[in-house]
Amino acid sequence: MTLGNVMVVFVAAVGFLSTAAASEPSFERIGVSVSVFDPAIPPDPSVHRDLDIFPRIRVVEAMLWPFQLRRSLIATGRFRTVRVVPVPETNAELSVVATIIQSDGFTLALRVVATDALGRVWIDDTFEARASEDRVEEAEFQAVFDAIARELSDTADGLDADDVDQLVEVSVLRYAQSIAPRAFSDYVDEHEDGTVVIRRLPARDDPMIERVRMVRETEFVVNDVIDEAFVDLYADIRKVHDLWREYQRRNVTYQTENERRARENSNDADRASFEHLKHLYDVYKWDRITEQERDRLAVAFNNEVGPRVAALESRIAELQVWLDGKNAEWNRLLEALFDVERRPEP
Amino acid sequence: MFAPENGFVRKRKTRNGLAALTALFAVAVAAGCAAPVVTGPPEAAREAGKLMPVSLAGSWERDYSRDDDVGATLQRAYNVLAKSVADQRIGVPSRNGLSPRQASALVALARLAELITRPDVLTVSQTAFEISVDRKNDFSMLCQFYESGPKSTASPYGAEVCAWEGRDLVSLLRLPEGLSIVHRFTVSDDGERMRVVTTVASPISPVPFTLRRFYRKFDRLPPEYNCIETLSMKRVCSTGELEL
Repeated sequence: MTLGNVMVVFVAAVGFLSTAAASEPSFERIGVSVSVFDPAIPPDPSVHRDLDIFPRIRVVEAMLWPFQLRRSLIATGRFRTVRVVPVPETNAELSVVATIIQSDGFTLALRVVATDALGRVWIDDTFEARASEDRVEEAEFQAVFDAIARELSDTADGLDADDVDQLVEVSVLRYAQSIAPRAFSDYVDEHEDGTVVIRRLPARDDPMIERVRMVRETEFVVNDVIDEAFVDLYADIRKVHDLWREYQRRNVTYQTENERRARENSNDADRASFEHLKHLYDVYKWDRITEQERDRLAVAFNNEVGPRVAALESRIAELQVWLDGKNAEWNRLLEALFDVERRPEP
Repeated sequence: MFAPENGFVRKRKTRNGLAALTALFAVAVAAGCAAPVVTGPPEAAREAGKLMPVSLAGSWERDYSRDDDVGATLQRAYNVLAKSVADQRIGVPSRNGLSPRQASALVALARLAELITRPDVLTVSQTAFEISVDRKNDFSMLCQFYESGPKSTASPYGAEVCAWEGRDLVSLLRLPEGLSIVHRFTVSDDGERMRVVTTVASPISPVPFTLRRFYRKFDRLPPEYNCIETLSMKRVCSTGELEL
């Protein structure tokens, strides 16, 4: 894990954080935003079978795994909030994005990048775990998520109060910049390497920043509704997903059986005999049937889970449309207020 | 409707199609057999760019009245082989001029062809990229066509690849020890009948064995229940609309 060098220029001597917030233990003031994982499905459908990727199942997994990470992050007790969000939030105090490299029921491999609001990279690494071959256990890949959470927690522990102050401040400022760009354009700068520099801070009683806070709180409420919808989905389909992984394992058992079948017989049989030819055909036949059974189960999984995922996606889309509309309205209002407030009094 | 010997006189093309498929496999072999993706040459890809020139989708039942008789077909193959053996004057002559091993190999090919073509119903599903032919007590044949060309379905035990030759779908299955099975599907112009010509070949026999099966399209009765496969509840059925 690396923390980039960050130049922070304080123009204002006093931050705009409330006293109450500043008195909390440092790490407990960091909110974490975990976005739905990138399912990394190759656009070329012709390679899906070869890579053992079932696209719809991969999409569902990209929604399920963040919850196991969330569980691990909450268990550390190091973070103020841990939310699962549909898309990465660049202005979150700490944003975690992950790409599924492998997820086949036996192995889970994730590429994880965690970046804070200052653009510092906390994690940029690959985490991998292999499940027990005997049976599917609840949360068996938890080790992956625990390792990620541990690394983030250790990094959070290493931050002093000033670090956390900056993080929280810049998070608000970046949000403010996104919602009222003209009013907050000169508060923070982003370097080419992604790190962020605070150029100036608003006054403690700046009415504009208070409005931004209120808007952000509203957005948090919407995010919490989305997060709750994800939680419900997770509870709904986790057991079906466990079943899928169980079948994946059985499939491996069948493949072993096919290998045994391919090795046996026929060495003694006359190679010009019907029995020998039938053996060659049957070995291929059973291997294909095993594959086709897995395809059938993937369809069964989609049949069962698909409607729930579609409902969630539709709900998220509705909320997003509402939020986008509100953001545009807030943007218009805040910019108008900014113009009014900077106008010299007659 | 078509007459068996009118609508299906495309023997020359058949050989060309097989040659094309064999070439496709040669590409795969040259590229290393472990590579599961078999992509044809650009010409083949362009040909496959039409992707699916004919729809085979639907349920097909055997028309036993038009099928080849296995015994008669085997007799013809014997004659061909015997003539070939006599011409080449090879092997130890026995009854019909064939060695017992040659005769036995031909019978083995015929029995395998008969076994493979035994299903009385074929259920074909077809998407933009794939054709799957479901057969009772057997695996579903799979043909995959993508923008990049036909794609093989490979495993350590064999590989299937398909190609379109005009309106014919040709499927080639390569198994170990040089055993190969080719199915050529031809649908009549009205889309109601289908002929499947299956050829089984192996180095154990100097001549392959070919069997023709004929099918008629039929409409399955609409199901009394709406059913859906699920993982946790298995098969779920309802007389009305299904809601999970």
